[in-house]
Amino acid sequence: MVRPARKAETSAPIITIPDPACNQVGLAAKWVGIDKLAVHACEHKTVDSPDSRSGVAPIDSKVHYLRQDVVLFDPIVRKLVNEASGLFIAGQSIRPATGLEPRSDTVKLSRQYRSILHDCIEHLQEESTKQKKEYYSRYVAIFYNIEFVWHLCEILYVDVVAGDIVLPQLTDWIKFHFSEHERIADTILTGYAGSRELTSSGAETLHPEYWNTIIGLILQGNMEHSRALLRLHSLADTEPFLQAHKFLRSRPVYSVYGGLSLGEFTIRWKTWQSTVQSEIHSGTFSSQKHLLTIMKIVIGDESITEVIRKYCSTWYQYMVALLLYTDPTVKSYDLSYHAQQCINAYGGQERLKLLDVLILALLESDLQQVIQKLQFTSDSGWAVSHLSNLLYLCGRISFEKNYSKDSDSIQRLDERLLLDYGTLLLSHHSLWQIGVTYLDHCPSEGRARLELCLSALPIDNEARAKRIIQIAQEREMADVVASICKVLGMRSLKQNRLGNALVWAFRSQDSAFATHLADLFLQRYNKDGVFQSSDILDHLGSAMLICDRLTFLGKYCEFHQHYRNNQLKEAAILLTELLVSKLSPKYFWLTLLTDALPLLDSEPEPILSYSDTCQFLYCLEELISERLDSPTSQYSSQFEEKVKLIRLALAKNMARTLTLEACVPSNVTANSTMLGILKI
Amino acid sequence: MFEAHSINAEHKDLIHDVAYDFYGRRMATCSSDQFVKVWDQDENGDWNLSASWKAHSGSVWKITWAHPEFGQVLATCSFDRTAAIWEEIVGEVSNPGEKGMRHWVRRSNLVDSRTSVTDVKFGPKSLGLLLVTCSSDGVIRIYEAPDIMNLSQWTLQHEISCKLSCSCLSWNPSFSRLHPPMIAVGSDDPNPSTGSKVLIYEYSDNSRRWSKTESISTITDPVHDICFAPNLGRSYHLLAVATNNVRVFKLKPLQESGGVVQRFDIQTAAVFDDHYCTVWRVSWNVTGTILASSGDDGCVRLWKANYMNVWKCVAVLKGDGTLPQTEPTTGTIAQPTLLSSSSSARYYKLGSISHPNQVPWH
Repeated sequence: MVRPARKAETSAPIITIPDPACNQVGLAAKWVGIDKLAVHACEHKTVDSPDSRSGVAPIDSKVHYLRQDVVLFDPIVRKLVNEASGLFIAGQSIRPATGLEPRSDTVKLSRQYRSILHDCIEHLQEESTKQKKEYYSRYVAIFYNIEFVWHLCEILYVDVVAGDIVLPQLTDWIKFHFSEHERIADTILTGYAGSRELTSSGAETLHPEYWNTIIGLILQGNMEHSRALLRLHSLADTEPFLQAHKFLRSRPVYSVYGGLSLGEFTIRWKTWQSTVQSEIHSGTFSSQKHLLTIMKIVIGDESITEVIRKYCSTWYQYMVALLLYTDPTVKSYDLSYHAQQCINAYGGQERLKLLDVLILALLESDLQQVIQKLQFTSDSGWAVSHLSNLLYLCGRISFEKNYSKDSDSIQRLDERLLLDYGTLLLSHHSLWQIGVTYLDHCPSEGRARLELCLSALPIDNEARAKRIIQIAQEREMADVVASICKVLGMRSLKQNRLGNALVWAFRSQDSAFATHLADLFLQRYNKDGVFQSSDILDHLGSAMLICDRLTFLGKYCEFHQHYRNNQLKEAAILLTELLVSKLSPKYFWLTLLTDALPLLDSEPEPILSYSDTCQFLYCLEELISERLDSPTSQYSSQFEEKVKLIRLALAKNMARTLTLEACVPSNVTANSTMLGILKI
Repeated sequence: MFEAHSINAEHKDLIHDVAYDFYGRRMATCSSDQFVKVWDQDENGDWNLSASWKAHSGSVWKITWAHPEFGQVLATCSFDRTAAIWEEIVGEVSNPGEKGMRHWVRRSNLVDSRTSVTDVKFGPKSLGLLLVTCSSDGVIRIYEAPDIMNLSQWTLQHEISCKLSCSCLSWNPSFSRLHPPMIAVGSDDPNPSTGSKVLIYEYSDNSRRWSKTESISTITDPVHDICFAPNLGRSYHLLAVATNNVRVFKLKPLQESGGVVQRFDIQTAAVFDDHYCTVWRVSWNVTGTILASSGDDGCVRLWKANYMNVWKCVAVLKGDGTLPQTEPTTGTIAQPTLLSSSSSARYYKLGSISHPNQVPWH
């Protein structure tokens, strides 16, 4: 019986298999290929267990075939996979950076990745409005979050700003991803465009979101939109509004290329702050509650942080909003501190979700953590493999010595992730070729893994086989090619397609297999008197040299060609050669001798010489004596008949040639053996 | 995370082993009901029964496929003290492309064992067609088919007695000129005083013999399953062992210097105690990156090393008494899901419980 599991400490997801038998006796699992798993109920036995029926029999014995739910194999997301592979390959020509300064090529690459992500999200959004709504909106969320994280990563590690002034970028990041305020502002503004003079009431009464929107915009540092909205207030021309407008416009903004040194900027910033401060104290804005809040925000008044928090749904929005008006020149290494402060304001560490953890790790420059956590996103490794490769190209992550102390294998940090991603694609029936390109760029283990995966790709048809072979050949993986050819050869053989099998035998250069096939061809010829796939056999060319038996087969077909073309002389020479050279297998001798019959009977001139005829005779005698010696072989009447015919033809030819050759004076041997022959 | 497709294997008793062919497109199952069944996956992903026969006169413990280079060949081992080689025969076809009648014939019956044959495995293809069996009386037998075109002839090439009841064995798949052929054998002898339960045998070309070159001394508890990971160009071998916990060992061949004292530098790469009790099976995926283990806690646990070679449990599978909403039918099952729109095999999403504390257990 299964013992109950104790409380597990692992955070791994528990997946339930709906099978009562599994619940009763326990499970066993076996991997299928790269990423599939077969699970079945299994009662475990030891050597001492008796062989009896299990307690649960009879039972529905089921095998549960599990596969991973891979987002990337969705028809829409597949486009992302395709496009990303193009970028990935292009990216591999970039030399990994030695310094940390931004380079246009990596920045461009990063933006391209984000842009294809954008396209993908858009496509998914379009789709999510149609059918499978729930399903696709989940995908949108997955990729949206990835894009969000990627963007932050790009700001902090790829497109690094000189002087390490990151806040403007962070503000853009927030603005870009939380664009709702800007959207509302735009609708309000367009509603008023050109017709402001005509409306008597201000925007604040027409739009309930008016003030919320302005404050939201202020917190994202969007001064233009908020100023434009303020102009739409019914009291826009009164003193407090004009003052506010002026201050918002004159707020100093630091820019690396603005010509101001950091010190000069800080002085200006402080001066501006105290001007606004004194204006607040003088009560300029006291009549306007909202305006006062805004002014307190922009001077970084500490009493107002609670209000800011209400306007920000996440801790990172809050952090950026706070920093904008308290520490606009914050350095990236201080972000970690600020992030912690803001997280505490939002319920502390316990409430962090995966996305928050990722953002925090990025802010804390803990790239190891980023990579580790990114593996848990539901995109099957798309983001983590591409992003880690990009970070490698940017010189942010480098070689990692494997943890065990004696190991000498040094692997690039991104390689294992690329390996996993490539292997995953290889498991897909149509994306596998893309997987190959990823493994190509894994210097330490890619090749070995590719060899393994290529040869394990199911070969459904010959076109696919040829494609796999071509890929293996391009990479000089001779073993893979040979193995695939052998498998296909064997498959053809089992389907009785000998010609096809032979073609594969050539490709694999498998001489033992070729010998076996040649034997099969000859034995079938013995039986039926015709060759299968004679077109292949007639055009063997140099391929016949792979083994002796095939050479013989090829030559024998050549003999038939000569014979068909009535080139009897050539045919006779070849036939004699075949018999004499011992290339021919014994089981085929009788066939060869039978083939000699028409040549022996040729008129008017004999074709086979006296000595040739003698060779033939020897072979015949050897065959007969072997037949007699072996008790198993049956002395069939058919055999006897043939032997008789051959013997007669041989004797006749011998007599003819002997007479002719004896007339030639130089031929002494012929004369001397004449007597002996007459005995036949 | 996972979706499943359940196949009713139609065995009359529990399945002992499931084996997939090299491409994962054919499945063979064996059971206490003494039958072997072969299933083929069609283009739609459905599994169809293509053969079923009574293979032995006892429980069939293990089943394994030969590499497709040797054709469609299976080997089974059984409580009836035999191992058998099976080959699929395709009937004559008049047109190419047409599917001929298929059936499996017993090519050979290996009857050398006097006790239950507990495991059977084909060797790496580069060695030719080799088969190794082990039996409960502690004998390992290595057979060879000298002519791969004639599977009815198997010669018993080596017989090694290891004096401990053998429960499992594994070939080292990474055969190359650098490593001689290697087999690891596990014993489930319950007596700790009989010493190590994991023995490593290697073949020496010079002496033409198999001999024990190593034993893992840290394992004295019974071993139920053992499995070498596929080697992808590593300098060491990775061996997973199912005993009272899951252990992964690194075997690094040592350079022979003078008197050979030790063949390998053996390190424990990982120990997983999460099953809390006996572990019965271990299985590596094709790339040797994820290990699946199953034990007496009724769970299958999946282990993966991260990029820093730290092993972590990535998923736990466990049986659930409730059936999916639709009762499985033969071969296929359950609710169609959106994902499988491209294929007709019906997959259903598996329920996942993220918080272990909420697991209802009775």
